[in-house]
Amino acid sequence: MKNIIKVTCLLMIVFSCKGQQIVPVEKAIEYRDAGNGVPDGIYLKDVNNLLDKYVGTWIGSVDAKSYTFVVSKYKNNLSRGVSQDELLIRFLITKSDGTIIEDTRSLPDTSPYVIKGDYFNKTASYYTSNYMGKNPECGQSGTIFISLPKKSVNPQMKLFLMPDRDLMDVKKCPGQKVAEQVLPIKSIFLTKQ
Amino acid sequence: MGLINPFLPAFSEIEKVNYNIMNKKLQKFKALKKVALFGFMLVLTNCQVDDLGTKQLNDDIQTVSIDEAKKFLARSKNSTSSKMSNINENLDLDKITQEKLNGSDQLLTVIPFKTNNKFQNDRVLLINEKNEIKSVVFSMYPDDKFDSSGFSGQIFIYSLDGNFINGYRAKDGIMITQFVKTDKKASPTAKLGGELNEVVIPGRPKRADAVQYDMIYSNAGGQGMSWDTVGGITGGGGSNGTNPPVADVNPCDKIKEQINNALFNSKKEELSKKTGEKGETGYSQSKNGPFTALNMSGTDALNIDITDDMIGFMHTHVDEYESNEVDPDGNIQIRKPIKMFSPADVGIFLGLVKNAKTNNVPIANVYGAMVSSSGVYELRFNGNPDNIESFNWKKLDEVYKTYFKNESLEIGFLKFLEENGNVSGIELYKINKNGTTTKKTLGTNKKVVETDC
Repeated sequence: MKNIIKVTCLLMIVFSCKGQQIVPVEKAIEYRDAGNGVPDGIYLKDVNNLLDKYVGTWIGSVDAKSYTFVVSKYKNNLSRGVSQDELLIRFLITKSDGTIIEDTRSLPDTSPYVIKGDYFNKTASYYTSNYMGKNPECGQSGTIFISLPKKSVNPQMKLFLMPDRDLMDVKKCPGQKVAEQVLPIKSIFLTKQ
Repeated sequence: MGLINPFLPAFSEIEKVNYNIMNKKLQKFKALKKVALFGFMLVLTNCQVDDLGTKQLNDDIQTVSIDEAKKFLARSKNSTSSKMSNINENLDLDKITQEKLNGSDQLLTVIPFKTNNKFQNDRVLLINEKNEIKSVVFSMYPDDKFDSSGFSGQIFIYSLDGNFINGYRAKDGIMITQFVKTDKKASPTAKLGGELNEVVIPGRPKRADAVQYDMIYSNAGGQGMSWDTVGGITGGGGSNGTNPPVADVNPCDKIKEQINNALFNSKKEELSKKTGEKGETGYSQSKNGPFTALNMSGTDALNIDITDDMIGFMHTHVDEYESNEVDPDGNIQIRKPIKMFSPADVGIFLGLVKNAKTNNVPIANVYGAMVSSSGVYELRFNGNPDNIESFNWKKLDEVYKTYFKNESLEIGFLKFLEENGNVSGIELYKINKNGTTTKKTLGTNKKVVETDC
């Protein structure tokens, strides 16, 4: 009887371990660099609360444009039982006269226009996310970099876009040229609301 | 009848006799001349009749348009004959060609079978004769391989419902024996021997690689007209078809051809040295072989302007590179591009496939290549180009990037294609460093299945 209980407990531990194999989310970059994918059942979890620091509403102004970024955290269930804590970034960009250039704040999590978090660099000093705009075929897509100083009372978040480098049939684009970016391609500093 | 010239002076009696003799000879000569002229006219008339015979047949023969061919075959599909239904299922309507009939200005409409391979090549041949579409199945079984220098093997001609019409055995491009049916009750579908007798073909040798019209359509005339049987299969041999089909096309063979091509190889090698640059570089290639450098548009886009004769492109996906920004800790912020085909690459590749179909360029020649430090990859298309819909692949960018959060480059890409691609037939090949090529597919367990070329 004791043996049966022992074996059952062991099996439960094994199964529970397999189902909840937690790896810190900042380790995602190691899997990516190794190039073999993330093993089945891994949960890349924000155990060190690195993502939490970015959650909130951030505002800033540059070149007569006002930016509001709304950052939230969610758990993305990928394939093969792999899941990952990520940031979602929505934004509002307005001109100085209040005209809205782009507003993705009310879009659902599943919208392709909501910026989806991807991975931290090895020292977790910056975080990358994937952005796609309304006109990706003409260049509105890329990687968003955000970073925060590690120790600061009122930290400012730094943000910029690196557009994708990709093949493009430019003659099919309006004006036969690459579309302008709505997000800043030079870093801007944002203050938490 | 002799004529007396009234202006001549009076003749003596001897002179009169001589004159009469000469007059008779002249009359005899004129009569002979008439007979000869009549005979010559007769010969000419006969010749004219022969010419009219060929000309009339040529006038009677008309090209079956591709639309007419499809309609004709669709009607045949509704036939009660199960054999005919089988034929219809096996026909590759996307590879219909119209090929030159030597000695005629009309074209033979040729529909290959999807099942064609290096051991057997079946084609339906259609021609409109006297306003009636005539059809046969033309089957070739090579002894060794299809060779435009001289076909050796067996040729069989059937009706669409599978009845034997004619058959030949050929050696080095010459028909040496003919298959004839010995028993009318015998199975009409016997293909190789069986109730068929093999007899030596008498008279002048007949060519197997330029088969005569009357050998295809046995109850027709068509003297002097022939069709090149092997050119379309081997891609050469003198076929002047407007859209040469490529039977037994294996993308592996096409990639091997590329690897053995000095120009392709030099471009590949050149690009492999440029993966450390910040921007992508690349070339497009035209069907005649030349490569054209792709230009940057702005700082991020590698512009590809698709032209009618473009068959492929080759470009880099670069290594990770530094931005001009540093984080608050002083670390340079680094971008890590995905070293695999992007949705834009796939979209442009499929655009080239459609482009090739429109411009009668063999689909087998179309490729998209990506050179990166993770490897050199090629996309090839082995599906139905008509199923490629106009679709903005770049809109899948956000979905695409999700796959690489937990998958390797190859699995991520293959899963992306499988789950999001709206067309089947896109194939992934890796050109290995040792010059070999491996086809990469997704197994049922979602792991990569590798098949060496």
